[in-house]
Amino acid sequence: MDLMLHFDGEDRLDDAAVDADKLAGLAEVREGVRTYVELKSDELEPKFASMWQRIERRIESNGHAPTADDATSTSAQVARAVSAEAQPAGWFDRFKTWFGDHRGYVLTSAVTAAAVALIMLAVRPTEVKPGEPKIVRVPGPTKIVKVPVQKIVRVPMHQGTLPAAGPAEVDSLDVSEGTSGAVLRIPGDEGETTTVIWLSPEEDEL
Amino acid sequence: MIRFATRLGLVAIVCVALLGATSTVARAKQASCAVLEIHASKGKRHMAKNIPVRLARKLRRAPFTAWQSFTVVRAVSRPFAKPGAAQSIALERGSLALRRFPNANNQYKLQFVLKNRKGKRVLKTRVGVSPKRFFLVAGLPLRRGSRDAIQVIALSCQ
Repeated sequence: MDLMLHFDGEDRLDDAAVDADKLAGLAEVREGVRTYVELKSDELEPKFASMWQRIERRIESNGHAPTADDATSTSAQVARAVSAEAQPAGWFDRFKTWFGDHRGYVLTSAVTAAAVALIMLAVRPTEVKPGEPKIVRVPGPTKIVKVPVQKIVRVPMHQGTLPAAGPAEVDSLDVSEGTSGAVLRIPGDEGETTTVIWLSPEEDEL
Repeated sequence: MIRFATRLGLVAIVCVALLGATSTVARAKQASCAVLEIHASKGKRHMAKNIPVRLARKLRRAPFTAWQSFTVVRAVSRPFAKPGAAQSIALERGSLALRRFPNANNQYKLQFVLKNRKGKRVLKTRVGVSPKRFFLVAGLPLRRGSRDAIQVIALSCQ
């Protein structure tokens, strides 16, 4: 042990106590170990270098997989940022940048607003209230006449089934010779009236 | 899969709406008229069960109060699909010809021609009949020289 300390230069022994052969042996072992470690280190160096490169890229790209153009694009971005800081952009450029960053939100808002506007246009009340003046354009010499609008009631022209209405109306009545006819109205319990054509033949025979 | 189901649902809704609209239009174009031939006579008080209640109430009022027994001798229902459609109806006593005209004032406009049993035209009239309301033609006696029994024709369209 003392010899090893003496060999490392940490202790000093008397020359008489130093065995020259053992010292030479220790020197040989040290050289052998150093050579072995250097060789192993040279062998592993490329592996470690590539690993550190990968770690650095991942840190820069925030976990995304790097592409081949990463180096170029990163440097271009840095250059742009530097130039932007160097020259202050105008309001239009700032707006463009802002629009580019918030394009999705702006477009969504615009589409929603357009849809709401269309719905409002579709459901807006169009009926003019009775009594309100309405501008009527008359063909010919231009003249604007204000006319009070009356309540317009739209009655559909039915050709099929009809809603319930009043009693039957006799538009025309033609009875044969020798027969007299009369139109009667029979009131009902619920206020309704029934129309009857009463025939009275003079022959007293059907 | 969800998108396909949504599309399928939309198609089904559209189909149902189309079917509903088509059936509504088809139903709206259909109109039919019912004719009841009733014989009214004096005697025991009787109102046939197949006379609708609303019509029976009318028959208990003047000028029908002179007759107490009312019997349905013929009941006919005929479709009038569109204006211009005509139907001829044979009655126990005589015959009836109906022709439909375009509706007006929410009424079915009909030409009503009544012939007696000898084929002689007794009445030709054009009337506007409100849906589900009765229009009556009455007064023709069933026997010569007797007012004991008369013919009543009730018409109702819908």
